[in-house]
Amino acid sequence: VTSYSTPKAEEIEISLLGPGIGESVVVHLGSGDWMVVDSCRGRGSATSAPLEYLEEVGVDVGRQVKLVVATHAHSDHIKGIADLFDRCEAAQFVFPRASESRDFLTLLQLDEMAEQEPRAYDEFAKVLDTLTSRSKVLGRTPKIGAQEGSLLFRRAATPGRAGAEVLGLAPSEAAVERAIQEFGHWRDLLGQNPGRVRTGDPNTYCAVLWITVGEVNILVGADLLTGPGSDCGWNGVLLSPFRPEGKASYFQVPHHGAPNAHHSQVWEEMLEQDVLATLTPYWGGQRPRPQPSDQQRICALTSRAFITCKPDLPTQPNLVRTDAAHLRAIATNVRFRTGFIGRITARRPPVGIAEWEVALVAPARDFCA
Amino acid sequence: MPEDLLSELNSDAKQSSAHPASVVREAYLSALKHLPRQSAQTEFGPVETPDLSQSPGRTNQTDDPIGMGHVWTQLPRLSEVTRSDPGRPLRTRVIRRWTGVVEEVLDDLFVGRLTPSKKSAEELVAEFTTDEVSDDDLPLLRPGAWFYVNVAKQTFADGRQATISSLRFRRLSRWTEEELAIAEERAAKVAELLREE
Repeated sequence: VTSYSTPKAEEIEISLLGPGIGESVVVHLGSGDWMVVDSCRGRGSATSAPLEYLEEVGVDVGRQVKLVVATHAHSDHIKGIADLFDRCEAAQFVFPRASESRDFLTLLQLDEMAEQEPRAYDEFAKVLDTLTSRSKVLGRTPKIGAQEGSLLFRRAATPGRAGAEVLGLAPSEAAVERAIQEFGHWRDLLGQNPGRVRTGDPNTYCAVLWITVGEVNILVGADLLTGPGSDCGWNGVLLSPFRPEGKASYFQVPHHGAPNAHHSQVWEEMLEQDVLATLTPYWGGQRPRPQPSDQQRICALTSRAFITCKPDLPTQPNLVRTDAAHLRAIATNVRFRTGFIGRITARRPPVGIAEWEVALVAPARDFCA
Repeated sequence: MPEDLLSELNSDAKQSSAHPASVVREAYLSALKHLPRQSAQTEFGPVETPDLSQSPGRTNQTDDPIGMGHVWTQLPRLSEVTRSDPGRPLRTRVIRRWTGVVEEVLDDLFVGRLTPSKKSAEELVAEFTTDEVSDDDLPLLRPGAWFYVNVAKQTFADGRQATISSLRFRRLSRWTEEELAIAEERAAKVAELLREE
């Protein structure tokens, strides 16, 4: 599939976009309401990939996008999110609640003061500028701090129109506290050399979403890890009093299928059998994800899994090979940080017995074939 | 032969708008290639160098063969550099430059994200062994640390070229109490905005 088409008015659509490093989830909640979770950019593009997609399918971005969610502050999840939010004038901005803390904001300021490119939190700083200017017009700041139990969006059901709800499942209260404690380390920076601002491991206080449209549940796992401890990560989700009833028929597999984000209890208790599972690879680390063992594990749990592009590193273009040759004396495994955007789009009606209909845009592929 | 060559150099130099010093050097390098060779024992071992005693400049120190106000007697000074330090390049030109951020530190290597100096170029990811990090820089190696990678092309007197690369961690003035206070104050204002409901 290479063409774009707008989903029907009441049809749910969820698209996962991924260029090898980075991911974004674009959801049609029915009735022309859209939301975007995270942002990424494809190789050679300066535009946010979800923004490009929404424009391709003819969405009035300024009016129809209700939520823009930054699940956590890792660069592979927030590339282009400031431009995206700037265009989504009617949207609320959602970020993990710990990111509202004064200590996190101090780290952001230090990032700016270090005057070094690339800045770690440039995207966040730009979003704060947009929030500031919108708050002057609206008389309120259009943002929500996500954590377990936070209601991020709600549309009541009416005759002929399914209701929709977006609920935060993570970070847990304990994870928020832990993160805020870590952010306080800026006080120890006195006399130290400025490096990139460190904000602990953002995966541990990452936002996870439970989306319900009509009778359909969707679980967006982002990069949430299993812990740390029994009250954070997926451990915290499973213990949470806010954990919803019901099972999801769609699962965005967390953290690129890595074992440190896999919790068998999540698959057993929160997901339907043979759930539609989607994931993006991560080419950035020393060991790309998912590994063959991750693939085996996931494909043993569901027969319907799709990935936005090949998990292993593709052959690098000549441009990179030239740079690799120049760097051969000091570096190995030189590769592009991003590839071209693959897309997995799934659609289904919000009520009744139906299967997800899946369309793939290359380099997206069947993960278990 | 040297007479012909120098007259050719003379004519080239007059047409050139390059800095006189670089013209002299280029002319000198070309002239060296045409001179007979001699062997010399240096601190770097036996090195073959041009026999300058046979150059016309040696016999007439007032010559101005390239008409740029530089006398030939200046040239042996350059040759002495070449003779005593044959490994020293005549020209070093940076051909690639990146700013790196350490993404992941493993036992004996680290993964870095490289942002090219050219705005249009794409980011790269590469792996570096910690052996490439100088002892002075090792304490700076941690996730989030900034470093610079430069690749340069060197040109030597005999026309040889070599590519060299360097990896250096960023050192800045350290955070002061005042700077931290400014950051905290600015953050307090933003926090106030975010708390507004």
